[in-house]
Amino acid sequence: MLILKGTKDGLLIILRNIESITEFEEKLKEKFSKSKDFFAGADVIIDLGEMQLSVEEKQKIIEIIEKDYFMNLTEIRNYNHSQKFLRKETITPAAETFFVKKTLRSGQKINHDGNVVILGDVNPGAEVIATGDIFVFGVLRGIAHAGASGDNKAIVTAFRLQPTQLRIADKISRAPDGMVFTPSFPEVALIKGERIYIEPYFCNLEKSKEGI
Amino acid sequence: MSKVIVVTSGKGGVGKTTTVANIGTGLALLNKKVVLLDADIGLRNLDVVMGLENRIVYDLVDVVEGICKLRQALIRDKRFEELYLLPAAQTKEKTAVTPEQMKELCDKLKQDFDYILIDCPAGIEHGFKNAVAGADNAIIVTTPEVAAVRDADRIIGLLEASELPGPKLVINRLRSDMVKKGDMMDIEDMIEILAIELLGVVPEDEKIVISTNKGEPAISDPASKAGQAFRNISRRIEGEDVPLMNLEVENSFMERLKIFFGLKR
Ligand SMILES: Nc1ncnc2c1ncn2[C@@H]1O[C@H](COP(=O)(O)OP(=O)(O)OP(=O)(O)O)[C@@H](O)[C@H]1O
Ligand SMILES: [Mg+2]
Repeated sequence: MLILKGTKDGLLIILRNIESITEFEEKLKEKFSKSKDFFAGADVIIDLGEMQLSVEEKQKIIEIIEKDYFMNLTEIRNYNHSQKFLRKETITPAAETFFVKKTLRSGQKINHDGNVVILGDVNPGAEVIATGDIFVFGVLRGIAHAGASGDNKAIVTAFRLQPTQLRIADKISRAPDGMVFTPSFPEVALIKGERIYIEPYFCNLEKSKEGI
Repeated sequence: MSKVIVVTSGKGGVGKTTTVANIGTGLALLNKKVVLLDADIGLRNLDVVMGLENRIVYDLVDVVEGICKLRQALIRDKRFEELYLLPAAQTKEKTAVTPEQMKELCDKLKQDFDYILIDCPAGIEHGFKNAVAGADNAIIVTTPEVAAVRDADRIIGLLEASELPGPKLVINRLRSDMVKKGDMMDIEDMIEILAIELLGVVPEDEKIVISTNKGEPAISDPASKAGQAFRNISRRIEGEDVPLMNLEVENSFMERLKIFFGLKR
């Protein structure tokens, strides 16, 4: 049996007589079949009652809640014990993000400790350097360096990604010589393995980051 | 309301002096009082293009240093009563003039003229700062080359920073045959990058070279295509809605470019 309850601390999931993780997954799927997206981002408390779980089983539950349903697991408890989880910050605090509300033209350079958001183009000859991620709401034609102090999980996304040169952490890639195919959709550049890859940008970026 | 327009480019040799001489003459043809100010100190040549070299007695630096009166240094054009040139000094250092002095000079000229056109030196150094100091409008000249467009972009950025917004673009020396073959940047590409209003497109035209050597701007030659383009530009500066002529632009671009002129109704 799996019961859902809304509380002031978040969504309470009460489990009774559940035999296995697979059964838990199935029951969860049943309950959420129509409202999966509705609960994305919600805090979740799991009440096990008399059930005892191994560390591996707990780990599996956390994964299901966070990766499949995009919810935050804050607590797992049973009749005599409560285990609390620190809420993870999924979004970098705004103070670290620098907004540029214009087009960066040739010879202009932004160097910022944190993320950079550009509401305009980055023209050839312009340069953006950030220790965090770089987002360009326009055409990126110049040079961008994300994760400049070594963060190889940093990304560069642009409405149109046509850079002269891209750097992430210590990896460098440049535009191919000659005529280039330029897709007309947003793209993201990120490190996978030893190289910088460029892929179509989808909203759930965390998914594409997982493939690293 | 007089206007002080600086004509600038970043990259050298793209046609600033040619543009100043032709637009200046074009505005004079439209019965405007115009003065051309050569701010390319040390490398003056606007006087040569205008065919007025032999009349120079005093120059801009003489005026600024108080050696002569402003009126004494102004040279009247051969054909137009209301067209004047204030020549640059040939022999003096660029640093002989400060931005404040240029601003003062422009303010003085505003009292007597409708248009003050400033021929800016190439580069982004002292001479550029002087040329821009007194201006309230800017025309950016570029050719359809990657390097020229890059420099134009840099200049636009500097103008934005120095609070001289809304510069207009003149694309010079366009060869439609080369654009068609993909050997030259097309107009659309340039406007996409620079993202400023297009004032006009001047085709490559050997008559420019001939007229430059004769000291008579091509705009007064009815057979010159570049002259026609400059006539159109002059009228646009005067606020007229003049559509781009066919030779200026490929037909397919016409529709989209109208947006930049605000002609879409
Ligand atoms: N549309 C054109 N067709 C053919 N030739 C041209 C055209 N425009 C300019 N030219 C030629 O290009 C050369 C450079 O032009 P101009 O002197 O006007 O450039 P500039 O930008 O003032 O140069 P500088 O930076 O040295 O001052 C000249 O020889 C001129 O005759
Ligand atoms: Mg010149």
